[in-house]
Amino acid sequence: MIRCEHVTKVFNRGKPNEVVAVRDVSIEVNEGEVAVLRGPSGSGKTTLLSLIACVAKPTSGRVFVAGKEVSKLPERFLTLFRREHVGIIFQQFNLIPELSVVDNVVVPLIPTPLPANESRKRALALLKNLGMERRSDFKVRELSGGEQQRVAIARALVNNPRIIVADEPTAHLDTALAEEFLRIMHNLKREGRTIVIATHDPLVFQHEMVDVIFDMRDGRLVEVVR
Amino acid sequence: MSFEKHRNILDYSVNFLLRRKGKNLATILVFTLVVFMLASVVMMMNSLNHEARETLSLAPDITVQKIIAGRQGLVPLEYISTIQSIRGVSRAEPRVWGYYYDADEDATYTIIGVQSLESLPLAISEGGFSGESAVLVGEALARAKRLNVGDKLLLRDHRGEYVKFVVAGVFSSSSALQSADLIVMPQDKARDFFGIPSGYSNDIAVYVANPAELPNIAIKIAQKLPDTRVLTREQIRETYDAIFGWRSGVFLASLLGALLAFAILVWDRASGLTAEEKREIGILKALGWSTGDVLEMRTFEGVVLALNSYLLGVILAYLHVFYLGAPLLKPVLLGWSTLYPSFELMPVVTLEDLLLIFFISVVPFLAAVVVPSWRASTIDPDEAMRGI
Repeated sequence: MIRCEHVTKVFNRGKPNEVVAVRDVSIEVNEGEVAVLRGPSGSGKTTLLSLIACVAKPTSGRVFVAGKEVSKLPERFLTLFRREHVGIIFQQFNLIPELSVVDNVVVPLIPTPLPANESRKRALALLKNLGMERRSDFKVRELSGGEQQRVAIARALVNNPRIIVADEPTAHLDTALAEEFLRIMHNLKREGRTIVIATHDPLVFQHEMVDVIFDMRDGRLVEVVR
Repeated sequence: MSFEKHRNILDYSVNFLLRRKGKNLATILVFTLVVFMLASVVMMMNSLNHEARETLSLAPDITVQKIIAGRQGLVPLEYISTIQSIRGVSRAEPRVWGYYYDADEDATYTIIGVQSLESLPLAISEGGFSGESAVLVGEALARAKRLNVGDKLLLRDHRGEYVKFVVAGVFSSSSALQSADLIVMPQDKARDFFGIPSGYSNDIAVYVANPAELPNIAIKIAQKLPDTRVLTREQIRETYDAIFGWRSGVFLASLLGALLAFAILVWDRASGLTAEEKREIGILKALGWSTGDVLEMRTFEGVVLALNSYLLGVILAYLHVFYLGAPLLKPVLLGWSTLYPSFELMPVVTLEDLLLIFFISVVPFLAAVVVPSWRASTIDPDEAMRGI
């Protein structure tokens, strides 16, 4: 489902502040698996996640997602591919604070031909599944951290993607909420979705749903645990 | 291309604008002010030019003035027979006129003496021309001095003595620029009022049957009467254009400074995309918005801002110029405004003017909104979100 071959990502290339975030990494995640990118801050796990999520392109190497080499795709095709195949849950949730809960969830559907009322129906159904239907008209800034994360999950799922990527999803949650998040992810795994999570939280990488762990350090892949 | 998709993006743009009410209201305010000033100048100059052309349409084909010591002097009436002897001249008439300063109103009027009303083809809204002391007055003058038909009008003649006139009629406001400051009286009375000796006039109005012959006839008059200055209507029109063009040019040049400041402001506003805006663009891109979708959203936003400001500015300018009499511009564009009775400008707005204002205000604004957004939306969404 996901394959990275000798991937390197350099930021600010050729400048004094050049950073090699990922260095010659090769990994593979099969369809329906839950993979964890594990490592301390600055290990390159978020950058590798961005490459898998098609929000960034590698400086060198090749990235294959759902059978397509996304590292070679022009921007507009990459955008379309990302919209159709990848749902992203960001570390800071990256919700738009002035928008309501339901409006945040429909954001990925706006540049699609789906009529606004259909998008809204779909978003409300997801929010109901996540126990957020009563908060749908709240501004997201009025929500707790756990509620905000459920909105971010609903938004990641609104396009019905086959792949979910999550960056440090439990970093801002207490244990109960983190377990709630893992329960939701587990259900998504049961639906057959492929999930990649970047984290250094033992609660996540010790969870029974996890199939493979990629240990990262200083931008390099140091160990694969299956 | 899906209509729904564009409607969705438009809805999001409007939502985006409403979320930043304060900032966008400030932009609309500045934008509207610039369009208002620009449109006011253009509308006023157009209207003045239109009125000037209307005035000229009433002017004689050729005006003959006597030049003494390089200045305009009185013309002997015997010149008329010399002019009439030239083939092609249909009519030559003496004109008696002068200026009168009214200290009470702090205004200067133009007094014209006519042999008959037919020689001054201006519409009269009330009254008629009868009696030796009868005068016709401009509508603005009548309003300023609260004169009605039948009222007395006292004016000091060239000796400084008061002369009593009776208002016999008021000119129609449809010829405001021509007649606003006008007092028309019988020619002999005007000659006596200004102290012009009989057998003389201020100038001679010449009418030509065939307009194609006009330049030749003007040359012949100048040859036969070498001590005169011969002015064709076309030459007077060029002088008018130069005066109005110069005034509006000076004002527009100073307005360019304001436009430049406006351009810098909008550039700063737009290019200085806040961290929040950049982050939002990054989020949208990460969530599957293409560069084109982001640009479409920002363009809609710019169009909504710019069109509202443009329409508001143009409407306010129209009201300012044609309903309020352009109080902000008159002192600049009409040098004689303090000496001239107030008058209403005839509304003249052309499509070309509206397009001109559109292109020098709306287009740069849209560019200033879209270009920085394009720059922000072409980088990797990951980098936009991290602020790298």
